[in-house]
Amino acid sequence: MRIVDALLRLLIFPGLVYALPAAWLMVWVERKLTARLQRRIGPPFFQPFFDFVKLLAKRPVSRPPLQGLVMTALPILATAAVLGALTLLPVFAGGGFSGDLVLLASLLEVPALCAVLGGFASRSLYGELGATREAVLSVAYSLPFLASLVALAAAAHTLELTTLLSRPLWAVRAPALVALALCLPVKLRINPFSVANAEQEIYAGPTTEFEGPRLALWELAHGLEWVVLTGLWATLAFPVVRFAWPLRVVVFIAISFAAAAVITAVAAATARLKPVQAARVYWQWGMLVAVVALILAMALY
Amino acid sequence: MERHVSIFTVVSRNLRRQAVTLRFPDRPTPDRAFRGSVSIDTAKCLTCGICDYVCVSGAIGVKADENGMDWRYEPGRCTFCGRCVDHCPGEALAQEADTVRAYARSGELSKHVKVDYPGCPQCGRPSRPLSERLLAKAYGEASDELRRRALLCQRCRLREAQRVLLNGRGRSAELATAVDRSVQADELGAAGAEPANDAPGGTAPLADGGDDGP
Repeated sequence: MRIVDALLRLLIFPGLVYALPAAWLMVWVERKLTARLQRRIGPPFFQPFFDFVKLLAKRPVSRPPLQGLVMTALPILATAAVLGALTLLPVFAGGGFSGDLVLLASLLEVPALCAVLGGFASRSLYGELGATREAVLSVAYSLPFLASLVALAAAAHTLELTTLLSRPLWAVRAPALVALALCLPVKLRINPFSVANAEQEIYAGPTTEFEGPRLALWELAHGLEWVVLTGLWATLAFPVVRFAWPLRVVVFIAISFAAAAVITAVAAATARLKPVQAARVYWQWGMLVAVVALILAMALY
Repeated sequence: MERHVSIFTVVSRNLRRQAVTLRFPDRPTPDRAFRGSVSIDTAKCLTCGICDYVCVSGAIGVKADENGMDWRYEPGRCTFCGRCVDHCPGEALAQEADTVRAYARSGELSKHVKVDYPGCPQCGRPSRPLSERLLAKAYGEASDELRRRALLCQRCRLREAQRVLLNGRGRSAELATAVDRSVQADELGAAGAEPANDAPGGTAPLADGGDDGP
């Protein structure tokens, strides 16, 4: 039964069947909303999907065997890790296991790690520069990101997501959600924290040298990251715990897309920060909120 | 005027407004003074062909025949330099305030305009008139009589010359005969007959007479 349950989650919801269209839809929402906020028309509805198919159909550049292998394996690993993280999202009650919060947090770190490795593996100056920035920033944002998750776990006295969500704990959840929301733009590499991929400034950062199917997989991983990160935030922000499952799904999707729209609007209205400034935001303000959540968790629960 | 506008004001205003981007067939309206494709006013055209001569990119081609001139313009080759408009003696050419649209096949936008020669006021045959500017260059201040003669066809002009010469002014009758022969040769040529091959015939004596003068 556990296997069937896990497979259903991986393949259907919130896994592949939901996540693939949702990823393309979310990327479209981001691009379309950004365009409208900048008084442009923006891409048509199917554009992210067309982009993906077109990239897949391109012939990959021939590279030295090991480099080609690494550059193919890294985006696949990133995509697989994000899909795994999606499977763990506690949209439904039950089905979790002890310690899945730790697994979820570590799987969410994998795309950033892959981007760093991919940037260096591509042997491109811009790729290496972007990879360095990604590494520096991931050190900066991981601190408040993990601290807020630890605060939630400490307040609930559990590392199991569904149990964690079944307790209200709003005194801790509210600051933790703020800290997590602060981490979403940098994990998605959009303004004002688009430091790592810094389009135009350092071309595309870590993915500069990637092409064709390899780039398609990166784009897919990025789209899925949108789904999983807004989805994680959405599950933690569920106002009521005991909903029937169809309502839970609807609320989950609604909050996911609303969160995506809000961070897109913020991205459209802000300019890119310098790496030092971006890191400082997380070390100072991110940590401040996360520490508040931690102290409240220790003091109240 | 506002000195500080919040970015959120700008962004929310943008969301309410329509996008400034235009879908493909639509194009932004160019400025009134925009110098785009060349158009011709056949009423003002003097059929001189200077536009063809000065065109740097070969976008304008002029082909003259008996009754008029075929003016060809290919916007796809045009560099919109405006030399033709600059040099046009009759101010018949102008540049429209419109961009040239994209085209799929070469020569797709090509324009052909037929400019008819005006009829000779005396005999009615189509003839290419002399421009005011050319008259001014040749005679300085042109009299009304000269302007009238400039409109005549070549044949009528020669007849006029013959009449003037025969009316005296102390010129020889021999010269008048030469003019008469020249008119005859012109008529033969116009009728499609072989050109007169006798050396002293044609217009040559008239030219010789002019050269021998001083």
